[in-house]
Parts: sequence; C-alpha cells; structure tokens
Amino acid sequence: MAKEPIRILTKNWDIKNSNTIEAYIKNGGYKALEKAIKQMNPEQVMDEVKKSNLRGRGGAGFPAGVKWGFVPKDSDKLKYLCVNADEGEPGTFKDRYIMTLDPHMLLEGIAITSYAVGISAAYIYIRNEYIESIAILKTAIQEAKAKNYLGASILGSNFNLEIYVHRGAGAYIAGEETGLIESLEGKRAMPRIRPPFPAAVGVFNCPTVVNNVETIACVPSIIEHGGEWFAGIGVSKDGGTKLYAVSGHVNNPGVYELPVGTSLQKILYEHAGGIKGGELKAVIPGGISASVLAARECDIAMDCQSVAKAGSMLGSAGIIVMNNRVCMVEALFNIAEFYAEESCGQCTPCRSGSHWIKNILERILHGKGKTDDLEIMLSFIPGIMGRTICAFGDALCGPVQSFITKFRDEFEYHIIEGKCNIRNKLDIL
Amino acid sequence: MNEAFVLDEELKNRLTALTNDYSTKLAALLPALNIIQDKFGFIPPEAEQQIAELLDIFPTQVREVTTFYSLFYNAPVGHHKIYVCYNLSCCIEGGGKLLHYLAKKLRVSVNETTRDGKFSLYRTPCTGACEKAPVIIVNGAYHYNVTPEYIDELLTKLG
Repeated sequence: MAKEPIRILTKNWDIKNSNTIEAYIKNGGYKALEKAIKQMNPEQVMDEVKKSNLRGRGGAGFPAGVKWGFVPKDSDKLKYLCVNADEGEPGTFKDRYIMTLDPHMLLEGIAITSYAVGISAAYIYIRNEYIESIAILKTAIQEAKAKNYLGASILGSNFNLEIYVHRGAGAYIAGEETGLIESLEGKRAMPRIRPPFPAAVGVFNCPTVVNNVETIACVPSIIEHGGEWFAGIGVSKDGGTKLYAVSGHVNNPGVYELPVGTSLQKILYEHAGGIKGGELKAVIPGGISASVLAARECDIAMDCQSVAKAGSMLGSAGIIVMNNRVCMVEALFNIAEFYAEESCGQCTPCRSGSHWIKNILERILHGKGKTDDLEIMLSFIPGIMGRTICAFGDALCGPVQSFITKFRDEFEYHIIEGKCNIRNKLDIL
Repeated sequence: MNEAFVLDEELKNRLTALTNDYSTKLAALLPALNIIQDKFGFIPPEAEQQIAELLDIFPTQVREVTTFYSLFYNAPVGHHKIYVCYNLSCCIEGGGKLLHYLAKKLRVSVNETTRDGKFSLYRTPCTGACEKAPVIIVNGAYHYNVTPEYIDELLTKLG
C-alpha cells in the first residue's frame, strides 16, 4: 500500500473556494469528462468502471459498473440517472462534504456516468435539510453549463445532459432506491416490489440508474487514471478509497478518506484520535442499520466482505463509536424508535414489528421489563427478516439481534433490577 | 389564517415552470410543496386544492404526500422552527438532554408551538452532521456542538 495518503474524493477539499468551477478546473477538473467524450466510447467507459471494482457507497455495496450494465441497450425509452443524496442513514455525513466542498466532482461524475449509459437527464435527490448543498449544487450546475460541460452538445459532441436538483421533504425511506423513485415521481416514498429492477423500469417507467453521491464522485478519477489503478487501491473486488465518517465517542470525529479495507483500529486510533471519555465499548460500523460490534470484535478491515464476515455490514461506513458509559438498552431504544417512526407502513411485519420492539424496550427502560421480553423481541426477527418489500425490515433486525445477544447481561440487569447500572443517562425517554 | 388562501399569478407561474423539469406533472409536487412551505411556513388546505388543479392531479394525491413526509405541515407552526437532532450520535453527546432543556425553557412538548406562536419544537432523525454532535437546526440553519448555554443565548437572540 502506498505510503503517501491517497486522496481521490478529498483531493480538492483544502483548496480555497474548492466549490467553484475555476478551482476545480485549475486542479485538473473536467479532464476526465473530456477524455471520455473525445477518446472513449460509452462501452469503454463502462468497462473501465467495471474493472475498477467500484462498489456502491450508499450501503448495499453493489458493483457500480455491473449495475450500469443492467440498463437495456436496445430500449428506445429515455434513460435516467438518479443520484441518491438523501443521506438519511444515522451516522452518515460524507455526501454533505462532497456536495459542499467539491460539487463539480459530483457533476463531472454524473456527466461521465450519463455518457456511459446513454442518459440525458439526471436528478440529484437531496434531503430537505441540506439547503446549503442545494444552493451550491445549483450554482455549480449553472457554472458547468456556461462552460458546456453540461447542457446541449457537450464539448462539441452529440451528448446532451440536463441535471436537476430535487429536494426531498423528510423521509428516511426516500433513500431506498425505489422509494427514492416513487418520491421523485411525486408520491409517498414507498419502495416498489422488485423485479422489475430500476435498471429496467425506474423513474417515469423508464430504465434508471440509481447511485449514491460518493459512488458517482469516484467516476472521474477512474476515467482519468484507469480502472486498474482504482482497483489496485482497495482490496480484491472492492476498489478505491472510502470516506469513513466517524462520530460518537472519539477525540476527532470527522470524515477520513482511506483505502477500502483500512482496519477499523487504524481509523479509530490513528485518524479519529482514539476513544473519548472512557473505554471503547461498541462500534456500529456502517450506519445504525449495521449490526453492532463489541469492542473485542473491532479488529477488522473495513471493506464490504470483511465486515460482512464479522457479522455486520460496511453499509455507508458511518462509524458510530460508543464508550463504556453508554447504556446499550438506551442505545437500542434510540435505534428502535427511529425505525418505528420511519417505517413507511407498507408492509405489516415492518410497520408493526418496529413498534412492538420499540414498546418493549420502552417498558424495559421504565423498569417494567418482563423476564421473557428479550426472547419475545428476538422471536419477532424471523417474522420480519426477508418478509418485507425493501431492506428496511432487515435493517431493523440486525441492531436488535446484535445488541441483545452481545450485551445480554445489560438488558437482563435492566429487566431484573428495574434500573440501569450505568450512570450516564442519555435522557431520551 | 383568516383570509382564504389564494396562489397569486407569480407563484402559479413558478409552480407551473417546475413541471418542465419532469416528464409528469405529478413529479413537480414535492418541489411545489417545498416552495409553498418555504413561503408560508406550512401547507394551507386551500393550497393543496389549488396545487392539485395546477398539476392536474386529485387533491387526495396532494394530501397523501403532505401527510407522509415529516417536514410538511398541514397547520400553522411557530415563527421559529427548532429541530433537535435525535440520532444515536447526537444523543450520546447530549441531544436528548438538549431536547428536554428546550422543552422546559419553551414550556412546550415536542411537536408543539409556544402559545405566543414564536417557537415550534421538533426532534428529527439524523441531520447528517454527526461529527459536530449535538446538532440543532433553527429556521434551516445548522448549529453545531450545541450546549444549554448556547441555547440560552440563541433564544435570547431570537426573542
């Protein structure tokens, strides 16, 4: 592994006015788009991205090039790109940095992706609260259009592309790719049954690619330096660098760009400054949907396969760190409450199950837990897991199962004694 | 609101122009509602009706959407909207305590508006700024690493 820190996504962040097109171009921006349009055909662009082993950075970790390849080439319908900038997964805050500090890297990525797949309209679906990012993106789009990197006949070619910024209205489930499509169409963000997958039938019944902001932002570097170069940075089948967003009980919370597969220990102690306010107790490695890891399990590499092997998931790589002063019953209650509130209500197992779990945890925290409460909660899991339209139900089960099994003594103490043995209450009831 | 709500021509044109960005008129619904809410603070029932006419959809389609998304309001809210981020990263850094502190100071419960109509208090799932927990959003602006003292100052400033 190279000794110099490899900066792909963050390379411009320290530059003054990094979000202007002048700064971006001065540092080599839009060269990859020019290269793609003038020297490569769409298939070659797609092949480079396949070679790069770029995996989706939103949570599912699906190979991006393969996903693009699912879009039918012979369809005479319009094709769309939806960029997922909903960033709702608790513990995740990396895309906000990309959009505010280097919006043109995202726009260039969108343009190259659209060129490769044959797309002429792209929507950036962005969460309601990101007002600053929305304004910056809109300005950036105008700047890029004025220089003909977007719009009609881009750089003298016959490739046209319009990018629209679409603001959401507060729904976690709009970050699920088919929920996003429904929401973009002006409806409740209720996920769709698949198949058909969005690549075949997506927004406005047309073939659609849905990719996360960070995924798309990787594309210009892949085209500039080649897919093999990118693949060589990460681990096998999982290329490039990753933005690890660390929050919670560390001394230096923030976003750290490191090669995919960097060890969690290294991220926590060398980059995030070590544990704050106590000893390490637990880490959620990929947004709250990821199963919790106990301190003893934290010696892992942070790539999709390694984290999966450890029984959790890399997800969005939103790393939430908890020290030994956090009560695990409270932490799980906070998570369960989130799921109960954000379930779209479409599927009974998720809609009811999330509330049942929240209610049981609430009574445990009030000192009214019953001896079989833990078994009752665990017994819901087979009824939810894999029995819903989208992965939200599964996402709820991972935390419930892992918190209860890994920190069972804390839950039992609450039930038997009717109180908490940790003094630092979160005050969330 | 005492007077009947009417979309003026300028606003109508703005909303109609939105439909150019999409291949269905319905897709302009969320942007249209966001514009209305930014301007009026909530979505008046009459506006739902008029947006439906403008976009050639049923009023129920509008209501379906306004009742689904947590950031749309069907009734007037406080002049200042305060959101306390309530995700795990914020709560382990004191987000829950901040919410209680604000509720006590403003003498309201969550999702309520003070009697003088000045403040509405909400808790919100992750705001995407976990590195600067705890976070609150006041009238759209993020405030980071918030403490009770900071809230005291802020409330005085907002009057």
